Amino acid sequence: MAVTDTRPAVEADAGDDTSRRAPGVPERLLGGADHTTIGRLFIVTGLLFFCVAIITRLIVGIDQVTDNGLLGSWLTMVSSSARVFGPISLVAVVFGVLVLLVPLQLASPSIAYPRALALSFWSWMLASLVFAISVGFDGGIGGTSTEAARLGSLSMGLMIVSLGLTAVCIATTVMAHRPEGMGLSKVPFLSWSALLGSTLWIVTVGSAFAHVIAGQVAQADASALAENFLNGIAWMTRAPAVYVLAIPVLGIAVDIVSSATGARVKQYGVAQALVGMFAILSFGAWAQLDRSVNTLLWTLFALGIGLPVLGLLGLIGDLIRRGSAKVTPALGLAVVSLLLILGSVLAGLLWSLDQAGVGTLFGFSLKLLGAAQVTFVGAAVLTGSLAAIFHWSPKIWGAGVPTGAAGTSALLVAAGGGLLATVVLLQGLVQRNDSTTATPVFGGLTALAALLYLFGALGALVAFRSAIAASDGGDTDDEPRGDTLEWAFASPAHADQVPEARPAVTSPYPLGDESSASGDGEVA
Amino acid sequence: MSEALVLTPPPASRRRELLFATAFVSAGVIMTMLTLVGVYLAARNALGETFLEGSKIPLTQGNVQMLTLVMSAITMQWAVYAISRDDRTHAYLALGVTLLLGLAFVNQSTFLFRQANVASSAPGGTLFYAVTGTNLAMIVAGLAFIVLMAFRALAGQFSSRQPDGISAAAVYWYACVAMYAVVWIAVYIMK
Repeated sequence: MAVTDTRPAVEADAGDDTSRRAPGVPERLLGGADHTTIGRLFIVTGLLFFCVAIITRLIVGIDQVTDNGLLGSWLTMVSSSARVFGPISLVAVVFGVLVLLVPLQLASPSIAYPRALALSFWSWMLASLVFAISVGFDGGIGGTSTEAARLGSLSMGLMIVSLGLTAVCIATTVMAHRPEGMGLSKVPFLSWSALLGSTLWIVTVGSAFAHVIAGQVAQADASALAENFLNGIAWMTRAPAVYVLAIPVLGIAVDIVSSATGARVKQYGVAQALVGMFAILSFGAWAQLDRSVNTLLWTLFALGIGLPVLGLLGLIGDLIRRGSAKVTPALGLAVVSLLLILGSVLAGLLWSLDQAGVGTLFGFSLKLLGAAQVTFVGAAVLTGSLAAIFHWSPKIWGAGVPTGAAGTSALLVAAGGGLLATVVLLQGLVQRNDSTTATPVFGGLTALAALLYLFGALGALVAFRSAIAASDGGDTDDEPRGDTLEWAFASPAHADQVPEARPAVTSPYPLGDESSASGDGEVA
Repeated sequence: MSEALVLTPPPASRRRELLFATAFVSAGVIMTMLTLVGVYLAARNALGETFLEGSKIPLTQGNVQMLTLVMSAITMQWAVYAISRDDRTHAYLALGVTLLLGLAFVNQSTFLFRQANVASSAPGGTLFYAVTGTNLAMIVAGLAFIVLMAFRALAGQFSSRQPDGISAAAVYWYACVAMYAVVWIAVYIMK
């Protein structure tokens, strides 16, 4: 029988019974490479891990109130580990959003290298669990157990490299999966910022990973590993490198505001250039040494990065002015996320003022100012990611999130993130020259902010659950909310999907062009 | 005979997908290497005369290794040129020569490590192996990449219409050569 012949009926039936059995949930979960499933896994797992980091911050706050009566000698290790684990978990959340939405914005049925993406997710998750275990054995970052500290260092390296692989998949998708007619100048803002953010993440973690290699090859003991982190990797948690995490937030904010107001971005190229300028100024591998912070170039980077943020805030204000904005939790979070980035810029400004010239001007605690920067950026990443998840909820979960739950969660996250970062900033300003002034007060405020943050993050998970339940019940909200191509896909999105409409791409807003050409839409 | 089964063609791979992915990975690897070299130079500057005390790093092997990799870059470009003109014979020949030169580099590296006799307990000893070992691992990964692409070329997957695999291997290989040039100057020339 030739291979092109139809199989006999009996043989075909036998095949249906055995080899064609539909894969179950565990098989789909573990063996699948659907970018939408992996994206959802990234979002939920990242948020859960972030909650763990916030609980740790809560414990640190209580420890400060009780005069170090809770953690004892573990305080520094737990605090340092949480400050690394939290932001990395947030990177996973924002990458989950990008992994899910970027292929849809480009009308691509899949992401580039879906199996590599699956590998990156599972290896990141495994590394995160190993890191958490190493913290439990006094390792993590700054622990005193050499074996556990080596495990912590290695798992941290694996976490950032795994997310580097995710970034390769995202960036390659934007470069190679664009539809005909969509040059880089017509790429939607989310995808544009995803390309820049992923590229910067790849080069930044490439540099940080070198220190992990050096630490492992040297078979350093616990104290040497702590020093290796401070001298070799801690630069990722201060300006300018810390802003790499926030690049996708800019694209998310602009796309959400444009979509919510129904107004198009005027001078699209200028807006893209602003995001590009932010990305360039977030390249921080050159500023790894402590002495590089006390330079004119670092000051220019620290101050210059505020300009694109201000420019984009002005652009968003213009969109709100021209359009008809309906206030939603997503819109509020999008604007707040940019303001939180400005908060981080303020911390950088105070740092550079303090370091200007010889010696220090005010004697601020640079360690705490650095912590304030990463806390502000972390809060911006969480608010930006939640804004995206709420806004694109029909594509992600199958239905819109309930406004009440989303609004409460948004309020708590914005208040908790803003308060936590502000408390750390104020602590850095008050506790000059390594003093311990009002530590219990700051500890209490830290604990309060962490509680708000935690309730906000958990509230977001409840809101996602409600959206999924609404989707299962058939209560889907498929109303197009934007002019970019992701709204042409059915909800919820899944891989190998074909968009319901595939208009020619002649501008960054193909769906808007199509509706205005057919006369049933309005172009602002 | 029963009705013929309509076979749908496999989805065409995206043009330049592998090329872009390789470029992004290469950027990350380059940053890793540059940072390691920076750490190495900073440690050497800090330790002064005691750096790698008791070892003698020869220059001859390093020079020959550099020359070997420069030649391999030329043969790799020959492979790209040949496959983009559907000259399969020359493409296979060029890939084979590149692999041979790469293996020669690996062999020279092991010889150099024995000659240099750098003790890992010496000040900077582990850094020496971190830099040269990572570079060697990068080259070995490049060889594996070339072998994989050569097999795919033998299976007829690449041609003038779809030369991406060979071009991607070439991009990564050039990154390897460039990084070895940095290591050669920093570790072997400026010692």
